Amino acid sequence: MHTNSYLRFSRKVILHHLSIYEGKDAARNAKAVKRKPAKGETKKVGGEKNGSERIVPAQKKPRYYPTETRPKKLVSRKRSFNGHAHKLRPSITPGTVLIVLAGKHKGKRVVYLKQLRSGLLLVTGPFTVNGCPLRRVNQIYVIATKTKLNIDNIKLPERLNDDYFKKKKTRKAPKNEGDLFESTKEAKTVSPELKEDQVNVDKQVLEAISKHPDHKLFTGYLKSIFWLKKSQFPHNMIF
Amino acid sequence: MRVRGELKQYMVYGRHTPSATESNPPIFKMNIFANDKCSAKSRFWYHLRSLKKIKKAHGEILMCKLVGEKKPTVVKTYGVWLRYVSRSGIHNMYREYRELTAAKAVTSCYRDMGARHRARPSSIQIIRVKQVEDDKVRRPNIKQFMKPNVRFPLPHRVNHKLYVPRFSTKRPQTKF
Amino acid sequence: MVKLDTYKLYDRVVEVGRVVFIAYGPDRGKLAVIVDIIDQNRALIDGPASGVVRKEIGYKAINLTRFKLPIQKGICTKALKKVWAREKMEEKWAGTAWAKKLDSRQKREAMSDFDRFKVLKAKQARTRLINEEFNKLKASADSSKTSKKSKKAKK
Repeated sequence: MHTNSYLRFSRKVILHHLSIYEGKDAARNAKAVKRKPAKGETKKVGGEKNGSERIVPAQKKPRYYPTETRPKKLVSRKRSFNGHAHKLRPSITPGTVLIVLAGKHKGKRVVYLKQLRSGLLLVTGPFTVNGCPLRRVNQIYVIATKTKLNIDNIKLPERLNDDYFKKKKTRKAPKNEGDLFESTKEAKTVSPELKEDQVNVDKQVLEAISKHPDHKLFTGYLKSIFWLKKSQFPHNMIF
Repeated sequence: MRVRGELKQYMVYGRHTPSATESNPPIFKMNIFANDKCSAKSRFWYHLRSLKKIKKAHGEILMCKLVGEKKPTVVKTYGVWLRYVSRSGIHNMYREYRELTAAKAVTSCYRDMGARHRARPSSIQIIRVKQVEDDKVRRPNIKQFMKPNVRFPLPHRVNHKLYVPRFSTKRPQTKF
Repeated sequence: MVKLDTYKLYDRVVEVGRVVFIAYGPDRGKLAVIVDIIDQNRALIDGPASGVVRKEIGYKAINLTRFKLPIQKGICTKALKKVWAREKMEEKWAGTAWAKKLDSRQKREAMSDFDRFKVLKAKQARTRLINEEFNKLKASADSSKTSKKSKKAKK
C-alpha cells in the first residue's frame, strides 16, 4: 500500500543501519586503521585517561570551513597587455616612410625605426627636417608608403624603449589655500637624454637619406605634408 | 514551373515500372528545358502523363542528363513551337530566336511570351525546338540580321555616370 | 531630292569586323572584334589577342572604335588572330589618343606617394621656367610700348 510513499530515511541511511546489523561496519573500521599516520609531532600527554601521547599536526587545520561550495576559478587563456603578441603590418619594415594620420604630427611623413615591446612604432621625422621628434606612434594611425630608406646600418641607443617615452608622473604638491586658483603648471621640458639621442639618430637617418637614389627630393618629400586632393580616394590609391 | 536565370537542356529517359504482365515496358525520352534536374524530371512526368497512360506513381526515370550545345560559339536561328493558355483560350505558336544555344532560345522565348502576351511559365508548354535553316526562316525581324552586310549605328547613347553633376554647360557626348 | 545617307553621319557602326572596346564586365578594358551580329541588342565578339573568349555581349557594354578588320562573318578564332596580327591592330590602337589616355590614367593610378610628390615638383619646375620666359617677353614688350609712347609724347 505504501510502496510509492516517501521514505522517512534516505536509502543511504537505511543501508548504513542494515550494514551495522550485518557486521559490515566492522570491516570498514578495520580499513580505516590502515590509513597513513597523520603528519605531525608526537607529544606525550599526561593524565591516565588521555592515551599517554598524541599527534600535534604540523599544519593547523583551518578553523573555518565554507558552508557553500564555491565555483572554482577557471583557467583563463587571456593574457594581460604585457603578454600580448603585437603584430606588425608586413608593409611596415624598418626604414619605411609612414604618413602619420593622427595626433600633433598628423599629415607628416616620418621614418619608421623599429617596433617597441608595447607594439607601438618608434618613428622620427627626422626632427631637423619636419619637426617630428623621436616618438611612439600606434600603427593604426599610420599609412605605410612604398618608399623605403635603407637603415640597416643605423645603431639605435638601447635605452629607447617604452619606459623611456613614458610620461614621468610627478606627485602633486599638497594644495595650500593660497594657491588654490594659481596655475602651477610646469613648463614641459625635454630630457637631455632625448636631446642627445635625437641628434644621434637624426644624424644617422640623414646619412641614410643621402644614400637614397632620390636623395635630392627626399628631404623635401619628408618636409611636405600629406593631404587628399579633389577626386582622390585613399582606398583606391597606392601609397 | 519557374524560369530562374538561364534554363538548361536535359534529356530525360523514363518508363512504366516493369510488372508481371509487362516485364519490358517501352522507354520514352524527352528533351526538357528546365532550371535543374529536379524540375526536369518533374516536367517529364507532367508531359508524359498527358501523352501516355503512365504516372510518376508507377513509373521510373532511367536517366536524366544535361545536354550541351555542339557549337555554342556560332549564332543560329531557333524555331520554337509552343502551346500556351491565355486568359481567353489555348493557342499554338511558332516563334523564332537568334541565339547561341537552344537553351538560351527557350529562355528568351519564356521572357518574350511574358512580355508580349503576359503568359506565365506555368501556362506555356514547349512543344518543339529546332534549329532553322537560313532559307526557311519566316520572321522578317530575324531575317534582317542574317543578311551578309548588316550594319547599323548606335544612335543617341547616354552614359549614365554615377556621381556626375546632373546639369552641365557642355553638350553630352552621345556617340561612343 | 537629296537622299540623306544616315550612315555617313556616323563613322562608327555596328558591323562584322568592327573593333570594340569592352567597357563593362569581366573583360573590361580589353579589345575585341564583332564576329557576328545576333540581333539589335547583342553581338558575338572574339578577342584572341587580348584574351577575350568568344562570347555574346550587349551593345551597352561595349564602345565602338574607329577600326574595322576585313573579316568574314563568323570567322574562326585562329584566323581572326592572324588577321589581327596582319593588320597590326595593337600598334594602331596604341597610337590613338583614346589608348594613350587610358595608359596615362593607369600609370597615374599606379604611382606611389613619393612618385606623386616627384611629379608635383617637376610640374612646379616647369611652370617656373615658363613663367620666367613669359615675364621676360612681357618685360621686353612693355618696354617697347613705353618707348613708343614716350616718342609720341615728345612729338
